[in-house]
Amino acid sequence: MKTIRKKEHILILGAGAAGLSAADAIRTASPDTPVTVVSGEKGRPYARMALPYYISGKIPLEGIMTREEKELARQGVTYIAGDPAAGIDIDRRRVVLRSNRKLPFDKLLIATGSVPEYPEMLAGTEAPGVSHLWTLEDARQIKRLAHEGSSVAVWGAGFVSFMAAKALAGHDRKVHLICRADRILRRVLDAEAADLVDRTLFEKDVLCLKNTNVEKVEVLKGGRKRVVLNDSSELTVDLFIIALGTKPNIAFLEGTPLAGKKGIEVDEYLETRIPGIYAAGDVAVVSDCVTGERITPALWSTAVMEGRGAGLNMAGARRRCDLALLMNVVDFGGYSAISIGHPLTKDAGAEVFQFTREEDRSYRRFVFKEDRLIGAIVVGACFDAGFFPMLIRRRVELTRDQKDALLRQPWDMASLLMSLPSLMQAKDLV
Amino acid sequence: MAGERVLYFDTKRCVGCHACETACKIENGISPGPKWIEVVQQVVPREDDGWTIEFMPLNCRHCTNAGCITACPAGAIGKRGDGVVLVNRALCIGCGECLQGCPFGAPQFGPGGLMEKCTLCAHRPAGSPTACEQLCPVGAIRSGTPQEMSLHKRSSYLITAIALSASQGR
Amino acid sequence: MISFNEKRCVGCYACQVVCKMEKGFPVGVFGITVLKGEEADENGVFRPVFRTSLCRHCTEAQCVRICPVRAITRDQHGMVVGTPEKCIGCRLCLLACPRSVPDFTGAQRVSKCNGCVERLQVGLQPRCVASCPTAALESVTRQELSEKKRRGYLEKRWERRQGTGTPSR
Ligand SMILES: Cc1cc2nc3c(=O)[nH]c(=O)nc-3n(C[C@H](O)[C@H](O)[C@H](O)COP(=O)(O)OP(=O)(O)OC[C@H]3O[C@@H](n4cnc5c(N)ncnc54)[C@H](O)[C@@H]3O)c2cc1C
Ligand code: SF4
Ligand code: SF4
Ligand code: SF4
Ligand code: SF4
Repeated sequence: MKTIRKKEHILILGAGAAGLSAADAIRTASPDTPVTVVSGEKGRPYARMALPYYISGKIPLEGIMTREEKELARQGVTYIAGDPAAGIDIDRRRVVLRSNRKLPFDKLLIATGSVPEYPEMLAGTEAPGVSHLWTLEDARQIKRLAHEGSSVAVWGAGFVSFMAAKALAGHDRKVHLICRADRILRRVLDAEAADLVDRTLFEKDVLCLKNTNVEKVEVLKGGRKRVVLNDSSELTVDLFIIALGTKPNIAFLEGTPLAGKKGIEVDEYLETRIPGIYAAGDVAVVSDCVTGERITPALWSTAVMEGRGAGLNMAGARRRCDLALLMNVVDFGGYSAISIGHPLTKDAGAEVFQFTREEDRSYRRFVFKEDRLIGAIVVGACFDAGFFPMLIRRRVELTRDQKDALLRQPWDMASLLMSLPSLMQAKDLV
Repeated sequence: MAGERVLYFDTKRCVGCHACETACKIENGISPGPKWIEVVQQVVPREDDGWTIEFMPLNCRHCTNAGCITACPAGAIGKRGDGVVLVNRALCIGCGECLQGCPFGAPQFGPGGLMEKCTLCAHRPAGSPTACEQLCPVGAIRSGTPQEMSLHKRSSYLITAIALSASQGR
Repeated sequence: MISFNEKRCVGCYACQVVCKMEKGFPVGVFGITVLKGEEADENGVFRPVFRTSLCRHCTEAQCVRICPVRAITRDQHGMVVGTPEKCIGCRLCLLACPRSVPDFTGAQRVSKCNGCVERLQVGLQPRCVASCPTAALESVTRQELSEKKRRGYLEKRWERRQGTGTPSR
């Protein structure tokens, strides 16, 4: 007798990096599983991290779109846009959307990304031109208001604020970066690297106000904004961009056992404590591949990897995919600063090596713990940067000679690493 | 290393029937194209100025200093405690560098495009013979540790020697 | 694939130069890179060794998977190609590629090897392969390379046996 196996229906919440990578992975592993992807936002899926480049005009709107609807249909993926999940009924295994539509699932992937923090003190100042840079809607608004010669203030000194400032620099715009700390990107760059980046920012006409905070923002008649700073100076700007950090987008899970403090807790296969429900991307709490700490990295690269792993696991594989490597790149035309792993570790046992090359403003910082590279910063020349992530992620143990050789030749890892004997070996063999 | 298993081939016995290739394909469900073991033939001159054909089954040698492991940029290949060199296909990205690093051309790439190769039938219970060994009609393939192989060679030498002296009536 | 035999490479950098000419990459950008290292031989004498960093057009190409704007894709010939106009210069591909292959022009646009498909289609070899004076680079399928190596091994084995094993007649 032939038994007909019921096809499991997979539901994916979120059409970002993690959600779509998962859909692709499920498609390759299991071509006929029904897959539905829900996006909270209207329109086609797009790449969030490409928004700054759309604003700066480096690529057209079309360029940030990650899928055509036709393509999704060809893949056999049902796509529901503009109807975010509002709640989840775990017992009856279904998700309730804002429109009250109910979607049943056998397996569920939560990949709803993060949401930017909105400081309470700004309550009441919501107006066009006071904005995050998070969604396509935000980006459209920013692009509309940031006309030639306009003035802009960006609040925050993290990654997104930096991207926003950089995207808006030029075209006669006055761009202020308001930064509470004494330097920018302090979580990923050290003082030396930040200084080089700073110099380059300055050349691009971005004014960086350090040790400064915002006291008050008022919307003036005519739509401009007055920003009062803690040194009681004032800025009058057309556009005020808030980028003070993000948190996992799990408000709709409130009251379920899924919502954790940091995000959604998952096991090594990205499955939550409820069987059949997975999480990936910015919402998932995963392990740092260097320290083992539980973190939400909020990065594109980790979202793609986790999405793929979760997708494969949902399609029946059992693949460990909860190890995240921190990796940030900031770039200006022809010049970039890359931070990988934990270059700023406070660990007392770590050894730090720094190298500077003035002629092309290149700088490198390597951090070793015992015989392993655990972090690196690469500023300027970076053709060999691709070798570092592997060394760090795979926890490659170097011999004394190898380590010495690396430090003797800090600007050309490629030649060196390729002529070194075996550095890596798979440990989990199948 | 001492306890590592290898495949041992007796080229004098191999008749080039390719049964091992078939056995391997069936055992491991290999798609068309890749050959984890392949019988390669070579024309060699004989002492009497004629020529003869020698056959040699070639699989992965599960090297101690494996070139494939050194070459793999993804760290997808490793050596198990019992010496078997295996690839973790979840880590493999299909770049083909292992094939470049292997002196024997052992790594194979099928339609899926990821590396696959002889596993010394690692899925069978420890100590069982490999599929190719089992199916070889003339006993040209044997698996075992180098010690076992040495013992095997020594004892087969003894058998030949005894048979020889018996046939010569001594 | 393009196969590189390090035993044959003499480090002339011809491939690197002609690739640049063929593709018109600007200063500092390479499609194939020859890397020079040093290795001690059995007598303890250091000799230069050459390796290449060239795109493998991987099956599970990490660069393709990670690119947020699909500026690196697999084309219909199976090659992994970059589309500079679409690139935002985020360098995620560079960090994802285990060989650090993708390179960038001054405008922060990706530029990488496309396997010279346009030449392959008219029956020519990739430019780097065609220019290699020692045939260290070859354009072969993986299955061809495997066969070649298997046969090559047998031949070497035979030669060795002859050299040492055969008594003088
Ligand atoms: C301006 C900017 C620049 C960045 N630059 C970089 C960079 O250079 N490098 C880097 O590594 N990272 C960068 N990031 C971070 C990166 O974009 C994110 O980490 C990544 O997109 C996370 O992927 P995700 O799939 O988890 O979530 P997202 O890509 O954010 O996708 C979330 C999806 O969920 C949907 N959704 C939201 N709520 C719901 C709901 N309730 N129901 C259903 N669907 C919902 C959304 O519509 C969206 O489709 C940047 C982010 C920004 C904003
Ligand atoms: S694949 Fe080649 S190099 Fe690797 S263990 Fe087998 S024979 Fe040795
Ligand atoms: S093909 Fe796979 S196993 Fe071989 S070198 Fe590349 S990643 Fe490693
Ligand atoms: S660029 Fe790197 S990852 Fe991409 S296909 Fe080429 S070798 Fe593979
Ligand atoms: S640098 Fe360009 S090609 Fe590379 S991942 Fe980013 S957008 Fe894609």
